[in-house]
Amino acid sequence: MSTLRTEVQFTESKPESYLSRVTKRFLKHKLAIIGLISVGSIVIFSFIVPLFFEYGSTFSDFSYLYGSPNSQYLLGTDSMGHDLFTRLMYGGRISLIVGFSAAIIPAIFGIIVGAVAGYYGGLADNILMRITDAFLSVPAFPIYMALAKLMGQGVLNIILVFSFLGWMTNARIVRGMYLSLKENEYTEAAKAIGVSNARIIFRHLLPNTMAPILVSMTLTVGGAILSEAGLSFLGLGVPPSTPTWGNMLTNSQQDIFLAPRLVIWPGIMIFLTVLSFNFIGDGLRDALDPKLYR
Amino acid sequence: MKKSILEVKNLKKYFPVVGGVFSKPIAWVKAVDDISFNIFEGETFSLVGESGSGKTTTGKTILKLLEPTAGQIIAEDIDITNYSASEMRPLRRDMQIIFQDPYGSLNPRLPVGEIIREPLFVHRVGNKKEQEEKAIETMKVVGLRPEYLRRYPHEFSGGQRQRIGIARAIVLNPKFIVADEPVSALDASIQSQVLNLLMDLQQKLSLTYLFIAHNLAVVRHVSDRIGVMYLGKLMEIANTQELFNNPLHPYTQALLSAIPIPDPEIKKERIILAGDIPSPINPPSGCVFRTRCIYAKDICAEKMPQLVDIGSGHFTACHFVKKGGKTEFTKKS
Amino acid sequence: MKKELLLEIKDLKTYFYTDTGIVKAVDGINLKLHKSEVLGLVGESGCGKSVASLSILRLVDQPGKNAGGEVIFKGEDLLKKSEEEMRKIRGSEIAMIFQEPMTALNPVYTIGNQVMEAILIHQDVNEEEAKKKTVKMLELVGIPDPEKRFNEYPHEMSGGMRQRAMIAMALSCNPDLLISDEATTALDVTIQAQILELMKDLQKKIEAAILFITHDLALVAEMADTVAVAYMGKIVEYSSVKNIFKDPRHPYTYGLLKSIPSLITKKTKQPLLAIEGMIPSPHNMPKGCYFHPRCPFATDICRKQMPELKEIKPGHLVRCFNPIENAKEVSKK
Repeated sequence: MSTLRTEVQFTESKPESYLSRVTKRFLKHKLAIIGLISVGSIVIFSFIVPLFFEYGSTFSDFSYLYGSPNSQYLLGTDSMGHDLFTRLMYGGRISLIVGFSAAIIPAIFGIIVGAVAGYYGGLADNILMRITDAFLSVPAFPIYMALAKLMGQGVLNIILVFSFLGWMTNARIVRGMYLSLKENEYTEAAKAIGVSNARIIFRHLLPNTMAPILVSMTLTVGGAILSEAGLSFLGLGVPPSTPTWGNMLTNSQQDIFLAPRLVIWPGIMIFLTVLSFNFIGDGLRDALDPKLYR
Repeated sequence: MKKSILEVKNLKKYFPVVGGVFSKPIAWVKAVDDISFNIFEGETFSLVGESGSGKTTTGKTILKLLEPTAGQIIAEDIDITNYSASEMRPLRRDMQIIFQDPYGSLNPRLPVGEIIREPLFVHRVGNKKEQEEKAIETMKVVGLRPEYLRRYPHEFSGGQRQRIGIARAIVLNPKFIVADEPVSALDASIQSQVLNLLMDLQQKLSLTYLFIAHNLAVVRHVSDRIGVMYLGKLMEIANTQELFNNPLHPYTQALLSAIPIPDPEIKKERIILAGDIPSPINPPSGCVFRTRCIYAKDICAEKMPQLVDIGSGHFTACHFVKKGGKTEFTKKS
Repeated sequence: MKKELLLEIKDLKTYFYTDTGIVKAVDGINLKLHKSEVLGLVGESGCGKSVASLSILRLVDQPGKNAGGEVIFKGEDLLKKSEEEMRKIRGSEIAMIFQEPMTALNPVYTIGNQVMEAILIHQDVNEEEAKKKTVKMLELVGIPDPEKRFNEYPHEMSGGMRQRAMIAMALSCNPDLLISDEATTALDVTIQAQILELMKDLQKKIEAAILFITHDLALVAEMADTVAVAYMGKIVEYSSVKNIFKDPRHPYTYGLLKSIPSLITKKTKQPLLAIEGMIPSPHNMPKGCYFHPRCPFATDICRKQMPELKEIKPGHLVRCFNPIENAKEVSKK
């Protein structure tokens, strides 16, 4: 009887959700903040700034090839008379779209495969994981080349190829987490209530796997941008008519001594973006690390 | 005769120990090995035992959270032994569980209101608004402030978390609850609050408890009847008073005498059991307790004594306890 | 009888400097321990009992730091000693046994090696003598077949056996003071009885003083001569074991004693007297007496001022403005 009167007070005076705790810890991570600001600026630079610019991505001024920077062309022009500044902005769009898509699509696929394998275990696990192993043993590069030849070049194809070959890591991370999460008492508690397996997998356990997935996704964005640059550099990526930072590098390789800025600027953009995403990933990892809090 | 709400017949639960290249079972952990008992409506039946006695496994197997290896589980005349997960689902409204670990048993990513509402959602009781109202009402019943509906488990202390777990268990108005060590993770001053709450709820909601614990003093306080387990077997079942006043099995006697008493002036004679609890993978032949029993004889190694009624609902599994409670113990020479 | 003073802790403070503020884990503790006396330090989680014991040995990790006070052991202040001198004292003059022997023992060395190492470090003996002594120690603590067990690894032993090995290691250098921090908490009750019996027995033999830290009042009643009850980093009551159990004066001590179910309480299935509320957060300590939000006897002064630890009768110290006068009368209310 005395218990029911018991006033229950809080250990902490102010409410603090998981999100606000994570945010707080993330904000303490200086490099991650720099990364976040830099990614934010690049996104604005690529998606918003072009709206206020007069030239489109295909604009070229044939009267001003290899032009030095001036007030009209902030960073000068390339061999085709394209405005480098504009090309960088539009290139950023493609690079970022490729980066984000290559992070999100395989993550979703990987989560589904990993969750089913880890949660059900047994035969399902065995089959799915052997398929994953098979995909992991496929040498990526020849596949890229073959698929590029087969499906033609283009942004969509690049994304498809990256998704096709990029889900395995996520699947393995998620499987590992589900293997341990399903042993948790709260999973048992959900079963005792009568919650269906699908609901346990997606409603109860999925939020608990988001931390490492988010970190891995952030790092993948950088990786995909680099891969796209690499493929484009080899002429297997996006065709030159659509600017990406990668094919801007390729197209300028013979001009490296003539007009180094044509190589340096896209290089700097790639470098900055990838580095920023890696900083954010590190910051997220530290902020989400469950070992740091109960 | 009181109505039996749950009957367990010759229940066995073995866990495989896998090994080798092909992950084949190379041995079995006999966590629960052929036990039978009844639980009557409205009572608190307790299972006590030390680690490895199989008490928690029994509780979870009864709720079909673990698949039984053999035997029968009969819940209110329905044999649920071979029920599938979907067949069990409607029955789960009436059979709930409270877990030991107030930290591990609550999903850290769900707010408290959602945790308590979840059973109502799963069993489609009312619409969302009604479910939330019921969740709030239940929070009040267990002594949690309804304002905390949107807070997450990590913001609560151990005792409060246990209240959340209790709220989740009672929100569907079940008839039967397995309380698996519900207070052993709590501080002493919080323990009594939760025990009081459990006893209070039993009265108000006419609940039947299967109470699982290792602390005999706690068990004595809350139970009507007690079953003593050792290495997957039931050694003795009796009414609480009877068990503490007249323990007949040598293991129960030793267990009772091992409990420290919070009174410096009572210096009791202890029966100190020699040795360790054997491994449930390879339990002793015959009576599993014989390796530590001070009265063990040759027959104990040959034959496992059956749990027999020696009168008025007092069951004992010992070769030397006869009908009417007469004991024929002689110490080993 | 007046015994020689072995350890005197004067106003010891250990604070943890965390991101979210200073946590006063040990907040001005005074204790006296005489030769071959057993002092029970009892309290719930967060009361600072473990930090206090680590502070004596100067083993508190970052961000914890000593914030004042003295620890006078055999007339010398341990807090003023160099790290080198402390190393010599740890394990030889003051030894410690922990709750979980598995974490205190190194998994890659045999039990024998670890006990032997302790002997070799602190005593001037050669390896052969050390080995002989180790086997003798293992035998002394009741490990059967000590010569064979010498070569076993910690994971090959049961919890009880590991705790015996820990005790052997702790006692191998004949310490004057043994600190036991929840040494039996992780053990089953029949094994706990064995270890307690062993500790009592050995304490008589080697005449070491024991600082016995536990959350379990019943164990204190069994083991201790003197008892200190801690709450939120402060000692709230300090007296002989008999006074604490028969004539508790602090409302917290009284509440703790009444709230635990025990084998000597007569009524069962009744609500237990519960201490209301919960342990405050160390980041958000109440003003005045730390216990006042949970105290049924709190008055205005309790909300404003922290009471001093005062001697209210010879040898009985209480930190309370309104100490309980007569425990029997209160229980009737």
